[in-house]
Amino acid sequence: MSKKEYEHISTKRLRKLVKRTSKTLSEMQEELDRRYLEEQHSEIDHLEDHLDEAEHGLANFFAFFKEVMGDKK
Amino acid sequence: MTETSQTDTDNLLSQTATATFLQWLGIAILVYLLISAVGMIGDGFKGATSGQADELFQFATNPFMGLIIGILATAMIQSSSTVTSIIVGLVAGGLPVETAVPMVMGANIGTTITNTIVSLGHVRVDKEFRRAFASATVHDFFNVMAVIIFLPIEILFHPLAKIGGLLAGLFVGGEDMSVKGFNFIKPATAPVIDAFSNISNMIAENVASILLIIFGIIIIFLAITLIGKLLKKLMVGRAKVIMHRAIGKGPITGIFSGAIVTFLVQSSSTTTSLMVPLAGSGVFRLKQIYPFTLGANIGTTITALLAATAISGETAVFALQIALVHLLYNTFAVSLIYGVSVLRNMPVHGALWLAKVATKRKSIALAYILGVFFGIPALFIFITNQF
Repeated sequence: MSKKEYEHISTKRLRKLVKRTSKTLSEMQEELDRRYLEEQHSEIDHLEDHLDEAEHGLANFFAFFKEVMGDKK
Repeated sequence: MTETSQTDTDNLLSQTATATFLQWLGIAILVYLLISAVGMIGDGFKGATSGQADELFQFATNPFMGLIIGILATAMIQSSSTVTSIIVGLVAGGLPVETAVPMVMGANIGTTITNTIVSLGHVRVDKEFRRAFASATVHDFFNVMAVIIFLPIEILFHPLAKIGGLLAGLFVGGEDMSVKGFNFIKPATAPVIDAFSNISNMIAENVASILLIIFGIIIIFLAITLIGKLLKKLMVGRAKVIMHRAIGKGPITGIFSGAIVTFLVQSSSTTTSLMVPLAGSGVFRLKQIYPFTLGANIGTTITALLAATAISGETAVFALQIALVHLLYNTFAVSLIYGVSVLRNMPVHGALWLAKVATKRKSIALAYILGVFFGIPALFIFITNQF
């Protein structure tokens, strides 16, 4: 909806629309936050995998070194 | 449930209980070896220097040199707990506390290399790499900042050493000058220390003290590594509970949970490294990871405190003093830098900037790691030796 189209809407209706949109927005934000937290909890459930991943330090370093050298060539 | 399956379940439960018991027994033995090894370093150092430890470490009386020794040693063995435990042993052997304080600060910086290296594993996806690298280097920036603030103050006024000494005096005392409540440690660790002393004497009598120090360092390193591995298995469930509870809460909870998880796994490198993939995937934001990382700095100080309980005699108070300095330094640094909003955001901005630059040119990340942890310290040692 463009700005010009708002001019044809009554103030009362516009207020109603703002209220409804704000409510929808906050509900959507809540849902996003909920999903975000859920995702975090789910990652923590796989903590063992992350601990394993954290142990591949040297392998990571050499893989990175190779990648950087590859980029240089 | 049939009778056979019930028996199978019972057997499985009993096997799990036995395995858990054995793992805890293993940890108890390793802790015993750890504190014995700290005692070995103390005794070996005393013997090697014949009470002239301050002369031997004359080169490290320059606090910047001490700092660099701490950085290099920790970066090389990737364990600040090992280095701080060794420092506790050296202080027990006569190394002056003032000389040891910058080394402890250096160990804090050196330990950050581990999670930075872990972040390199995300090199293939730029966005992922940027997030992972920033989450790792925020710890570097924080620890460097802490040194920039606290080292000059310590050089000038020695507040950490003074408060540490004061507190250590409260815990250490009595006729035998051993840690109150831990007087049994010395006789308990004596068999291991004596055994390794004898072995050292058998190998080479003239360098027996040096060998004792080397044995001590090896045992500390192995014990801390194995304790970490066992605790990871045993404590992962509890760590999960703590982290689940911290999600969605504020930064203070983040700091506490970081400290507790680190205490449980006895390794700040593990705690900070495990956050890197979580940041890389974008599930956790840098602002959530940052306080958790700071908690790791505090949680890791427990190992040195444990190591200090191994020492008795007249140097026990100094051993505990340096362990308390480690705790105080990290607690003060977190309180000050995270407590003051202007300072709080500096490591975040620094890490985000570096990650952005390093994502564009990966060689910068490599240069950063080699430069900060090895190049600059080595260059400083070279320059100091020249003048």
